[in-house]
Amino acid sequence: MPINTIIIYSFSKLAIQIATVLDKKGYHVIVIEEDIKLVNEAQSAGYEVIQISLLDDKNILSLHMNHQNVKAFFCVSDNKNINLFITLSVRNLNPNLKIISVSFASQDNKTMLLAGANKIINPYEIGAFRIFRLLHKPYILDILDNILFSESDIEIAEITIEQNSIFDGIYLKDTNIINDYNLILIGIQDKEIQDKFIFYSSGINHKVDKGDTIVLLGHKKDLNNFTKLLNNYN
Amino acid sequence: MNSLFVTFAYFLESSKNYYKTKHFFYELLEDNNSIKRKYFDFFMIFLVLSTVAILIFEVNHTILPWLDTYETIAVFIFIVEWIGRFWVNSHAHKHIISDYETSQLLNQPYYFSNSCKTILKEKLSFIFSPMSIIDLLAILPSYRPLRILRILMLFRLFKILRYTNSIKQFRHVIIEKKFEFLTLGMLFVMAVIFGSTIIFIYEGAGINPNIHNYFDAIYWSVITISSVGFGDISPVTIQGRVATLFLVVGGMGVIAFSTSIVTTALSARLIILKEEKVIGEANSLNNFIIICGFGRMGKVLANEFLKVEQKFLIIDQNDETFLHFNTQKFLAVKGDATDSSLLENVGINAGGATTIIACTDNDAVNLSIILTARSLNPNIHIIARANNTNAKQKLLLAGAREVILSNEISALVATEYIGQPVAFEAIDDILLNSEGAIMDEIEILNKSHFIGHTLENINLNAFNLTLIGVINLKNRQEFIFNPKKESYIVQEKDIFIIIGNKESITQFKIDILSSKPKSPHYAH
Repeated sequence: MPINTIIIYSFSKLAIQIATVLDKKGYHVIVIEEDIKLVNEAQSAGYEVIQISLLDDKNILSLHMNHQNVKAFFCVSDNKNINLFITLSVRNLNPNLKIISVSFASQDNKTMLLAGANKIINPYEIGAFRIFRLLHKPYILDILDNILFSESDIEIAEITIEQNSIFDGIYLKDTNIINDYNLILIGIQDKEIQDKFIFYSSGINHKVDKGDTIVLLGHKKDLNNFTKLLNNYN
Repeated sequence: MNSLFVTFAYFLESSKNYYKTKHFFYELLEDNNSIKRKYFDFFMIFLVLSTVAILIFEVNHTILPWLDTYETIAVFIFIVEWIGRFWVNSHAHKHIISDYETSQLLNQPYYFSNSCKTILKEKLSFIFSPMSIIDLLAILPSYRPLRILRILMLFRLFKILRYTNSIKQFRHVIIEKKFEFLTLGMLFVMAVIFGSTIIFIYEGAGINPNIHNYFDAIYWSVITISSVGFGDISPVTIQGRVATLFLVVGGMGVIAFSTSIVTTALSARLIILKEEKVIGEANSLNNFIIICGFGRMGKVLANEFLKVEQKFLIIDQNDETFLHFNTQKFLAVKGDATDSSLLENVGINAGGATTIIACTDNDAVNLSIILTARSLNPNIHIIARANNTNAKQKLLLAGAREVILSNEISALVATEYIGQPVAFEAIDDILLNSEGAIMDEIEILNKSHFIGHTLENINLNAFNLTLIGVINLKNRQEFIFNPKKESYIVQEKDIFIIIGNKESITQFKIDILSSKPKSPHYAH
């Protein structure tokens, strides 16, 4: 299993887009598809394809998804029920795998989370929000696009605080170090309360402990310098 | 003489006041979308009902003198109204001008009498139109020598037809279903003649004491066929009773048939009526968005627009999609968005539509919507949804300003999650406009008291806001990331990009709008 492998179930239209982006980012993509026509398509696009059905647990096990090199599993077929079934099966066999599933209606999001997906993507919702933002918050859309999806100078980064780091045990508002590096602190995710992301703007003066993850926004070189500083401390 | 009329016609054509006055009366009397007309109609309905009430009152009371005056005033208003309609019905002077210009072009002498004929024809057709006749009949009985025709006063009730749009539709139904009604009428007449003839032959010659003449027979057969059956005349012979049986059974058919014609035609009419209402409302809106296609994406979009109270109109071919949504909150038309007349009707070129969003799940349809919209209005903002990657380029080529390929965006979003899940969740929270924090853009207007101060002075932290950066509209819209707090001086037309929860942002917006600082957030 090559490092940074990502497994995508089905070669749907959405899957094609995901595979393209992942490929560009240097991930090794494995496509699981049953339909011979789509298998050929995926092969000619240059992806590694395995032609099996994931409705059978034996086949899922044969993929060795619990291997440390498998970074995530995408379940993005066009059939809602099959997605649910496969998400549940894969989660059952691989408790720690990162699973991202597609949902086509917001009322299905909950079921998909129950089935065990870590993250839900709803293309209709994402598309609609984008149109909405185009009309109502065009500047924000532009800036976010730059930060997230393009090779711009400004990037978003998350850093997990390790023991004995300069941040370990201090209150967020008591440090100027982030400002000194021309970085903006968006917020923090506490290790204890996994789901809750605390925005810096909420005004809560959070005490940073080891294992917490901070999210920063900044120029690429500033972010690099900052990570270097943290590493030096460790 | 001829030239006198022509000069006068040109004078009217060039007179702004003439047009203004005529337009005022047009709005008052005939314009369905005018608010003036609505008030006028209410007033007229009241007038009609009150004069009819007086008529009823007169039956067994002696008339009071002030009621007489009231009646006179009402009739005067009716006359003025009729003359007004007569006037705004057509533009007589335009005929003179156009005839005159045609004759000039052909180098022929101009005869006023020719134009006169056209004008006369037009005006006569107005006078003899059903509504005009009703109007005249409603006025007529007030003329003293015709006092005997007082019952014609009831024609005033028909006048109400003119003032209420919905009843007018009933007339349309009858006109539309002319053929059906004619067939039905023939059937009815035949059944009546058949029934009355039989009863008259068998019971007319003194056998039935209640049937004296053929009219009695007709009266009996109509009462029977309509299943009213008063019973004042009833058959006494076997033959008469058999005829009654047939008449009753046939009568049921006639009633069922006529009811079904009217109801189907009326319900079909109701849809058109509703649509006309929606289009009328859309035309009175400013700054609204047209969404073509109410599928899964359209619904999410509609929900977001509702949240920010953005006005919008939905066009979808399938009206079932509206049923699950509360259409009270927004405008929806069932129809084909690629139909240019529909887009024109909802105001894509002359009305208040600023943006059109083609978000059906069919790229060919979206392309057609874009082209239609673009051809009608070269400046409208068009956003399109692309369902296939290779359609994107075509949609842009057709004239869409932005094309959203939801799979592409979703892929970018989803892959972002793999690398940095926490950062992604944070952004996702912001993007989904969830409870936690939102990202917003705030423009510094020219009167704001923030202008000229440094960011340190403003102290955004006191508002619990995180400033990401500033865009200055004057300065080539450059985005300044994380501007220095001590040195950056706020300028007019700056746009602050901030993160914070909704309440903080609202508070900040209120503060920024005021010209004087209210809260003690200035750092000293």
